[in-house]
Amino acid sequence: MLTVERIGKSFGGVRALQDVSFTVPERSIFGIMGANGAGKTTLFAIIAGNLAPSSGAVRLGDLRLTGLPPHRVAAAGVARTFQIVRPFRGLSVQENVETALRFGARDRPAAAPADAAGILGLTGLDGAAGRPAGALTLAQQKRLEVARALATGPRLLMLDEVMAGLTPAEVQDTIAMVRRIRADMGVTVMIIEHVMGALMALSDHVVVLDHGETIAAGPPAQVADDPAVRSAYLGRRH
Amino acid sequence: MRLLTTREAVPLLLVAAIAAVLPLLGSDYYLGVGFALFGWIALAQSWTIVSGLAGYISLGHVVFAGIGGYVLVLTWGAVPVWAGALLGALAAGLFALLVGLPVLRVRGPYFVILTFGLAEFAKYVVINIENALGRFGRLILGGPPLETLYWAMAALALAGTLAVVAIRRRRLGAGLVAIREDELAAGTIGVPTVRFKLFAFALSALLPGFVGALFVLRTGYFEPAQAFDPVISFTIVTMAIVGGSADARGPVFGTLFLVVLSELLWSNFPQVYMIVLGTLLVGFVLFAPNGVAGLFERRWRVRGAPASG
Repeated sequence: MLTVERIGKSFGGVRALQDVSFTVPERSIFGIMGANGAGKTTLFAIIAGNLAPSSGAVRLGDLRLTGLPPHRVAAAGVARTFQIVRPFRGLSVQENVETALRFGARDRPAAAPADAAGILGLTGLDGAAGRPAGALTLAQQKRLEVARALATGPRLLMLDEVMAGLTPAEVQDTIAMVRRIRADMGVTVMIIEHVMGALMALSDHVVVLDHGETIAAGPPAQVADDPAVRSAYLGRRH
Repeated sequence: MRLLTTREAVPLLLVAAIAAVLPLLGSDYYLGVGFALFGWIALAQSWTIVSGLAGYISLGHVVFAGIGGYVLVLTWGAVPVWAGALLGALAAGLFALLVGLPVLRVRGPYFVILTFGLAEFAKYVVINIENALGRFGRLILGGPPLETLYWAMAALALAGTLAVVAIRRRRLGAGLVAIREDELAAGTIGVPTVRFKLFAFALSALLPGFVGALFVLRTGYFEPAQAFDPVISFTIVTMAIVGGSADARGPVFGTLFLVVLSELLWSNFPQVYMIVLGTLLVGFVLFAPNGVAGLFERRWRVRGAPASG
């Protein structure tokens, strides 16, 4: 459903992304791996319209997303979370979700939850609905990022390290939540994660970025055995 | 349509009640105080649309009143009085649309300084035009009587209060608040940030244009340095801060509080008038950043349901 075509991005002289191409199949869970600074979050920002690429294009089906402002990308059915959380701090958790419900995708999938209560239940925030978003713990704020993104009624949901800093039990909960989002709502999920085990367990497909370039792509088992991936993660043998 | 909530009904009823009561006192003094009070309410409510909801703090809102007043005197005699005032409002809105696109690209302190500078710039442009025309102040003779102006201004105050109530209920209001809280996140969840900001800015300029025209009709005189006086912008901000600008209550509470207080101080302690006002402003910013409305809320919360966390 989503096609990334030869995306490149330079910040001044620094190349953050170079010639990155891949296709995300409909209803898949698509993992993006890579060390810090590999360009993963930059890629999400480009897809969401927060950043303009230096070269290449992103397409959602037949629609060219590149060049559209963020709100048009959201209207097309693409949502993202922020790795460094950006809740509407002065609003309550419920108001955060309600705001996203009033905007977001133009054509909501039939299975998308239409009310805040459903979304807060799914993301485990129902007990915190009335609290100001700024007063939540970091783990709760990460869940609020997911809740707010879901409330936009997306066809494609991009999750940026929503498991970082969680306990193993919370990671298991989050894995179950992501599976439910795909199964119950038919949402395609792209996921950046440092928790390798979680990413391997969840993803149908994985792309590995290293210094802005794609070094491997394929099913998780195959990618894990790839020599280029091993050397990028574990260091080259000298 | 949902019924009015308390926080929506209180400011609307308060404005309507004051408007109905003041003329019963049967004195031009009260009509004059009411005229000023409603003028400030209309200005502070308009300011709240762009600065309270969207968080873009304008320190140059006088420019819209100045433009409204100037258009009124320029069209004086050529069109009926109310058409001139309406043209003033439209001109202010149009001006906001034109300058909004570049001006609203900057945020925070830069926006504050830019709006202030823009208002000063407009003032000197008008001063120079008037000088070039050889006009040093323009007299307006035969304007509407005070009572008519009073009712017109009361209507503007009510319209401004209603506008803030209505915008807060709509998608526009939710989007503006999201922009205030986090503009990048707002755009990412689908808020058309550029369009909403521009629309809010233009809306927030319309009523001040009208108010400026009425101010000129009341004084019977237009002088650019006075019509574009930056102290008017500062006063709008002060009233909104003292009242609290999260919803339509703030501008009404703040304006009422300051206008009544300054009338009392002015007549009883003219020597310390400015000192007391300045101390109050500092006190509110330091100890009650959510203004009078916030103080009420806190009291109510303590007595009603204790807030958790």
